[in-house]
Amino acid sequence: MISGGSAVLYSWLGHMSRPVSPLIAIRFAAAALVALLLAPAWAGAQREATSGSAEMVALPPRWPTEIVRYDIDARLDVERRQVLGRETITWRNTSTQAVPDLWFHLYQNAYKSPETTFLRGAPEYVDELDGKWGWVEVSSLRVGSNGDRGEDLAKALEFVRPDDGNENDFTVARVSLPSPVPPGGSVQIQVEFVTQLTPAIDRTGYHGSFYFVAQWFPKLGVFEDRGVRGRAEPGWNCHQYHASSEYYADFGTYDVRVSVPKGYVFGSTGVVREVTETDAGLMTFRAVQEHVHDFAWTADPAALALERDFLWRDHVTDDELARAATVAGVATDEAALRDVKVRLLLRPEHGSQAERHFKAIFVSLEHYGLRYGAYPYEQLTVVDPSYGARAVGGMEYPTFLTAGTELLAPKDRHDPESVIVHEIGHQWWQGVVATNEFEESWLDEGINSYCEGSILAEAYGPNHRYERVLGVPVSGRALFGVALPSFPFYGVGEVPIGPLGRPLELAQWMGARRSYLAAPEADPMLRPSWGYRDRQSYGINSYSKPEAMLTCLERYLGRDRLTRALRAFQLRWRFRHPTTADFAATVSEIAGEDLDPFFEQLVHGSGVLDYAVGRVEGGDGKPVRVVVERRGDVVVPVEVRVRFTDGSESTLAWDGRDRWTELVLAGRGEVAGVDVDPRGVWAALDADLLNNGVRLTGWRLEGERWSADTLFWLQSLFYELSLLS
Amino acid sequence: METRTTSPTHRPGALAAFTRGLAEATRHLPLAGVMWLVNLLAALPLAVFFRAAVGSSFEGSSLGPYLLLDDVTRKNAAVLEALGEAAGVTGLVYMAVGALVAAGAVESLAVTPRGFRFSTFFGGIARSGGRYVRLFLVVIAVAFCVLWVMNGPVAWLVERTVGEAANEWPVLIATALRYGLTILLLFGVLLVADYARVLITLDGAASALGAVSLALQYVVARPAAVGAFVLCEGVSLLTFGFVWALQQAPEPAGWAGLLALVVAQQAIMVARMWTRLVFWATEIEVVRGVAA
Repeated sequence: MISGGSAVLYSWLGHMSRPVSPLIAIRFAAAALVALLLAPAWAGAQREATSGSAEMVALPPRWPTEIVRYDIDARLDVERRQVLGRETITWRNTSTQAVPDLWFHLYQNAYKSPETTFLRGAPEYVDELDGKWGWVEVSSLRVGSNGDRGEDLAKALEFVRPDDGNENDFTVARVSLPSPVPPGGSVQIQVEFVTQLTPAIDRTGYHGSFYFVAQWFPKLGVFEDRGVRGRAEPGWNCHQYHASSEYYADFGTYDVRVSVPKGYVFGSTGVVREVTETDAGLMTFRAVQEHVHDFAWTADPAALALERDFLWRDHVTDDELARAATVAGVATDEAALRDVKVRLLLRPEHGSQAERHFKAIFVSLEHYGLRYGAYPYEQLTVVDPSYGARAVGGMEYPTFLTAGTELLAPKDRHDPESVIVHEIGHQWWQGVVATNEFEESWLDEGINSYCEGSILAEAYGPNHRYERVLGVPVSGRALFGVALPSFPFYGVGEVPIGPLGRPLELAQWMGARRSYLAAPEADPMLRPSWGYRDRQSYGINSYSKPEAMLTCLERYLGRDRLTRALRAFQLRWRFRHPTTADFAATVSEIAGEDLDPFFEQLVHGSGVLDYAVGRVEGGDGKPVRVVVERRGDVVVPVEVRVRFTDGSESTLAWDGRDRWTELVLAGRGEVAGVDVDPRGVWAALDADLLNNGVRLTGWRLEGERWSADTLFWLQSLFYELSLLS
Repeated sequence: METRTTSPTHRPGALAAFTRGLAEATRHLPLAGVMWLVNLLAALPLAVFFRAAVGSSFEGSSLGPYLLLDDVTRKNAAVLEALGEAAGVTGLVYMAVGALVAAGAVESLAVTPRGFRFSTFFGGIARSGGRYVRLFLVVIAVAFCVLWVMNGPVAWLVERTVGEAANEWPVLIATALRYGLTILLLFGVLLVADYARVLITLDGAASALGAVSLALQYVVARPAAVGAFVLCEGVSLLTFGFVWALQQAPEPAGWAGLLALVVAQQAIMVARMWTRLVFWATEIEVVRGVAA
């Protein structure tokens, strides 16, 4: 993917953009050649041609290649907490190989015993399940089409463990077909299954009468041809379900009928096209959605079903549209959004927060749409999970997602808002740009975390994570992992106002940086999601580090250029499965400079970035000598600013490659201070910002200031303790 | 000659006791100064240690407070961990010393003729200090028991009772009740302990446990005791208002500003010590009435 070698192939000096390098030109020429060779295969599948802009090269079809179709009939048995289902899967072989078998995900088997790969990785869920194990049982599997039911192959299902060989894991199964599916051919499979649901843990389950049902049906993996996503040999991409993994699936159409007891409010992926009532006291909802890669649903008798239309012209002014078009480099009409029907299934106790939910939904549809391309579907459904089912909150499915709030949620903390914006962002990053979350989790979570922070800052202000207690801004997160004593004057519970009693400004990227620096060298960013050192490292490398990296890139390239690059990546790869290399190539192309070395270091490497001011000499008429050091492994160009006591300043540039350099300025006045990276371009990644500056004159009482606070804090602590004595 | 009882005909209500307690505490401001000094001496070495340990870390003072705090904490993680441990040990020692100081302070507030004298203060420590320390151990044990019961069995019971509720309200109400009850019980412990201290000094209760028993009976029988305690809590809460006001103040821009900040912080600490005296002085007034 990214070009190898350690040499920096471009001049970082001066932060000047430059034309596309020959390396990139060759790469795109090769990509164009591949696209030409594959064009016939695409053409048949293309439902709707895209006009596209001149800027976008090798445009994909506007809608995906429809590879799979699921027709499912399911019934919720609330007594047994089971889903009884029958599905017809139609799979089309779009590869150039004959395919002799089919591989299925049986995700619900992750909860079958404490020894599954999933529960070994997340043992805390064993206690939460409290013996209420979950599973999916395939009772019948027949191959055939047009009513030809064929031989029952259920007993021939063979469980496979491609990732870890764990014999107690039953989340992937394969079945040999009576005859291979030829290239361009298709196969139809009839599957009957029973899914035992679990108490709500990790994205799915029930609590009381609330149900959120996801990863619930036998689902095909993805057959990847040679060359697809860099694959050397053709084969099924069908990983086991891990504690730190999400999903990857083909695009297709879901036509699903779900029967639930009468009185339940139903919501799901897609649009409910039909509702029928049966004599057995059931309501059957038929939901249909094309061009998606998953299907989940909810049933809750208490939910408030609120519906509104996102009429985009009510939210976007002409100026905003023109601005978005300018940033994107497209004509105004190409930046246009589309109207969307929004369904909000809100818990009644959260009824007073309906406006906050709708505002966050509309903000998301507007901002993501203007920046990265319009939301492509007709409807979006947002579910507010019940108390006791918070574990299913904050999860994304195509056109369908869970939010999550609590009673009396402080307005300034923006808790439901941030999760809503994040999960709606996944409609772009993973929903339509369907990266492989098993293998490249940073591509959706990381990009989306960056977008979420940026959009929240724009819509709700830079300190959107604040909570206010008695008018004092409070960090929305426990600081430094320490639950400090919660005196009324320090904060509430585990959200102290900073241990020293002062309100702290907390932009989202600062939180990402802190999270990243908790273990910056544990793993490279790009690893299989189950291959990180631990779940903390998975979180860091999937969310925090990429968010910090993209924040730096935004400051380096400028926000508009990065937005344009992300938009190009989004539109170019909609309804496809791009890789890290595709991302890097797109960003380099739009940025107009080769960023491979940047991504090579930060995506494939685990080194840290740390520049420091080492030594300052001279001044007052003598030449000023500044030693700047590179203390980390990551190489980036940096600025060095020398400030003088007369208020003047000089900025020097350093390519940052050597371990240190000495910069010399001709004789000037007295030096007041020196800063490396004074604009904070790399601050989100810099492992130690304290060594970025040296102050030689002026105010240097910060240490005393903080020590006074520390003294006061300790005195207060001791005083409170003394109440017992 | 010093005495510790008052006229048998005097029986003040909560408000009257509180008013007299306020006046008495104000008369004993030097005593608040002594308590502040002990508090400062306990905390100062740790703060100096912190300042010396972080050294020039604050060179990056142009950073926002969050980044600065984040990096200072990360860079000095070992130092801060040691500081935390030292603060824990110091806190325990301070509580034990605080028991002795309380013995001297209550003695000073209880005796007549009124007014602060070191001889009375140290005499009180010598006379009742041992029982105050034992009382402190009893109070610690009871407080831990309260917290364990409320966070263990009671929390389990609440979860079993309303945990299956899909609606959040019952859970919120049950949780609020649990926390409310915990706070009430802890205040109850402090209330009884305060009166036990006063009874040790005024009535010469022979043992810490005996004083607790007497105080418990006394508090149950005399609502004015609870009323006076609540009024004192109100005064105590006022000091939190000062802290809040201090947080709204602009960042100090120089030595003068920094000095003003330190003076304000220490004034708040003196005020806190004074409120402690208000508690004791008020409770002494209440108990003296009953002694009659």
